Amino acid sequence: MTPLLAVRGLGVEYRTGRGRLRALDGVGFDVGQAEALGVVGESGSGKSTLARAILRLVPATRGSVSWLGRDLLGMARKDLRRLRRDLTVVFQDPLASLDPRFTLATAVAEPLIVHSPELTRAARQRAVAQILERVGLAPSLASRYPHELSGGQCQRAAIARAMITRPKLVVCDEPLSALDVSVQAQIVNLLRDFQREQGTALLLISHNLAVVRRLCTRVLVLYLGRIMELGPRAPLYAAPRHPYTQLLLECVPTLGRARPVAAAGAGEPASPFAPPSGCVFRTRCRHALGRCADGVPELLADDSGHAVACWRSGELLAGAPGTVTAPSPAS
Amino acid sequence: MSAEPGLLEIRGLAVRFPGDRHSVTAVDGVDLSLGRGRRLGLVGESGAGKTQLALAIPGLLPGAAVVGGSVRLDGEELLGASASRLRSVRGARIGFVFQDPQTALTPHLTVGTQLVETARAHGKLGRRAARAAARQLLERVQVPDPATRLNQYPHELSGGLRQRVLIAIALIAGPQLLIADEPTTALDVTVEAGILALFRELNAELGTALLLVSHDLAVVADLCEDIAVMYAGRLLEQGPAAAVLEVPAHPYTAALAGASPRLDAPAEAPLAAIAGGPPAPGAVLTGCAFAPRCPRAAPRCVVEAPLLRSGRPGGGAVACHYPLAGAGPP
Repeated sequence: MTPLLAVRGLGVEYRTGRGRLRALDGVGFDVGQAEALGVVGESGSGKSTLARAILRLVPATRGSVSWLGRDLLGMARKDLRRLRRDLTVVFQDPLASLDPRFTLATAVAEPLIVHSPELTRAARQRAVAQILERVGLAPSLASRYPHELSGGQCQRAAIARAMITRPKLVVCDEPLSALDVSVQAQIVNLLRDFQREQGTALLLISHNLAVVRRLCTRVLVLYLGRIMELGPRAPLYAAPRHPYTQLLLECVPTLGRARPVAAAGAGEPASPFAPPSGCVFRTRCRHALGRCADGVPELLADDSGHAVACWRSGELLAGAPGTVTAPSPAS
Repeated sequence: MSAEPGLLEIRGLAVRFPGDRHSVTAVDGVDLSLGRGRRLGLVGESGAGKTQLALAIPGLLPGAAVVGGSVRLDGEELLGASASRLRSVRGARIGFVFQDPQTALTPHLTVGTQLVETARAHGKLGRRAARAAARQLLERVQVPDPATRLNQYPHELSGGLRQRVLIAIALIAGPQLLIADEPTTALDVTVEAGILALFRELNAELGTALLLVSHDLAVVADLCEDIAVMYAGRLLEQGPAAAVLEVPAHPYTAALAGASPRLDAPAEAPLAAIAGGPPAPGAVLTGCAFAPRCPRAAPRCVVEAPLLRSGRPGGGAVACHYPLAGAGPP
């Protein structure tokens, strides 16, 4: 079956005052129909750039992205516009992503006006009322403007707007970071229900590994623009194969366990302007050896589709944690 | 809890912002104690009033705020103290670390200048001695290569390093109390882990008491011995952090813990969301502020506000007519 989204060798470079910044480098993965894929990593890992490149909000410098087999990066504006019905987005800041001059009902109806002009006004209003109820917004809120709503209500409206055309894939870029814990849980459950009940695929960009675990069945781990690990949820969380994934999981603040002492020495990402040679993670890796500087490790998958880019993954998996070297301090 | 008065004793603290039509009560009669050298986490969602409470302690609220009650630091009343008295308390006895390390540092002064100025404002140090102290402190907060960092500007540092510099500035005059308002919220979890470890070390070595304001229960569980849970300007529960988080007595604490995604819970299960949202600022609350969202609410909860009463199983106090009787979340 053709995947919904196929990303191959994707590279994005930004030209900045401080020189070239390679935000993404050789990133490749698929998103299947109705699948929920999570993308995690620290700030500067390229998560948001990945979302933006797929949405064509930043130009890709290398590689390809195809949508149901069609080239997405070379697609004409006219076709791209049509695609926005099937490929929608939810951004981090719910207040900023809604037009302040539109009432909630207008904002949510807009995608239908654009993509389904054949609908009668009454049919459109029915659809809006339905989706508002679906995302848990009271009908009385329909005539309100974004500034009159709470952050959680705005994010529900943004989700209603993203879902009203019954898209095949919704790209969610940190949809929960601006929300309180109690509201965050409501939104997580809402996205989960859409994915399960309507078969909407999700590409969830998030720094929060605990949230991604609740929503996604596969997880992609990015560091300095490269994929470190890509695998099914269960093995990735229970037995992460890349030292970077292990580090991220150690650092997640979560109830019910003390953060391991080692987490305190996690350090900070290396500069994206001067990424380390070879494996980009080696300067923070507690398993790094001299040879990790020599070449970029390939992302290699096993039979189950669990892939890792680490020179030492074979040895480390064989269970030789005794060879652990001292963690090198971040420079 | 010991009978001896703590380092910080807050009684009936109220913060109100008068408006044209109605005023907004941000803090609604809070009692809170923090013992010498203890680490207390104040948690709540946005709008709960935790930042207003933290700002009220060293007198940092804007002039429009009407503040009532009592805030005593080491027996000295701070509410109503003169501006010059408060200036000498701030920095010298209370250090403050804000959420956003980007904006809390002055962009056009080097890190060294900012540290040295603070040191000299509070002590009788000469320029050279102050610079040496600044360098030592940067080393203490684990800023690599402190000599170079002293000559750098804030924008040349990463977010994590800036937050370490801010912590150094807050500590340079040797305060008894450090107030940190969401100090790791803007940082990556990897960087957060290091900053929280640093807070713990500094507390152990210098004996500086810590008041950590956070929205994140897991961060408080990680760092603090005691916890106070705030909602709509009131304290709903307080006590030893481990006991409160493991067996919450207040339904709100239990709900907040249930809504936090945990790595040890089944991945397939939906999160236990709390229905509705917190009351709007300025809303007049009769009864318990959490009653409209509470699964255990009874008619009494809507009319009669519960008082914060001690005798909570496991230590501490709870403000609820029908507390969870040590049975865990409903």
